[in-house]
Amino acid sequence: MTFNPTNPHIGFALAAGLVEAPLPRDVERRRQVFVTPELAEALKGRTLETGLPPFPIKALIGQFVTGGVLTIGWTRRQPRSARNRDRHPELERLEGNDEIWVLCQRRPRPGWRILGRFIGPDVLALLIARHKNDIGDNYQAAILDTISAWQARFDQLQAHTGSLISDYISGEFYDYDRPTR
Amino acid sequence: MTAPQDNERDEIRSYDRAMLRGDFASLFWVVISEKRRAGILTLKRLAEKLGVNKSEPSRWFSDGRPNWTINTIADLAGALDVELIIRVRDRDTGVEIAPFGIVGAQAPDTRHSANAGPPVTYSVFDLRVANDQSPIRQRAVSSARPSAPFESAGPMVSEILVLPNQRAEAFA
Repeated sequence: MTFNPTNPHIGFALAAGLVEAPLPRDVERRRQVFVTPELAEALKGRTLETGLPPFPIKALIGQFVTGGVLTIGWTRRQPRSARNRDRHPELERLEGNDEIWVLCQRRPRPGWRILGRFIGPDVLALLIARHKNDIGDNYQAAILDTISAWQARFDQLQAHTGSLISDYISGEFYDYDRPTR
Repeated sequence: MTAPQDNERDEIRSYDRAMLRGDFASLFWVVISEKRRAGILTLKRLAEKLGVNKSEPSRWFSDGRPNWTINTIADLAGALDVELIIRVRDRDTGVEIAPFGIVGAQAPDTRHSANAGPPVTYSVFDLRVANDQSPIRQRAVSSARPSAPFESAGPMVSEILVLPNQRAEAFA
């Protein structure tokens, strides 16, 4: 189906061969998540050998694209404060790592991490998925893989940058770093 | 079209449940955020009204969403002094229904997806019965955008019928 996007960032995603993240329901998309065709197939449950659990990730993506509130981590802390030890961001920027963001599926534990970048405000491109056991606490290999995947699809296109969470995401969110003042 | 397999049905059900839980948590967090910005609510005050810890909202957005009971939802709405407006929308017809009956229509599920076609235009016909038994007057209220607010039919309306444009015809 031909699609003539009005949002240029959506155009960049489609031109790069990404597809809308598949969801079980048609929804009003207030934000956009694009994924690689391989990730889309995994989310449709057609490549179960990856072990990627489609439902919890689609629920997270569903919340994001419908404009729901997600817990956003802006400044990754190691170790976490006592206050936040049992609470975790659902979408997290890996600070100091060239605009890499991670969608975190934590249940069933240890879960999966889907890495990508923002193409523009409210337009997130998810490029690779890694089991948390394969990442451990060291994201460097996954970060390099994400950068390679980005360059392979977007060439010289720069990832979206901002100085506030609201530069990336419209609407409400739950700020993991400044929870309840 | 074949019926969904059991695992597909289970996934859709789980997805629907997760989305509804998330929608309620998001909804109340937006209300809280707006009232805090307006300076008319603090989390401490809200926690006192609900009898919970003020860090309670942080639990709403950590590892899933709370599975609130209807009573909890009512308590939250009461503590925040907001009225819940209950409506459903038929996925096939776009008809919206409230506890008192049909209230309006939106286009069926082709909404705002990057792969979706243009929004479907629907018309809402309200049938007004004059007090003097004169013929029924009809007025079409077109909604070019599915999310456009439904135009109130006014106090004379005795019945509302919702039809797609293509099937519009006179009712007497």
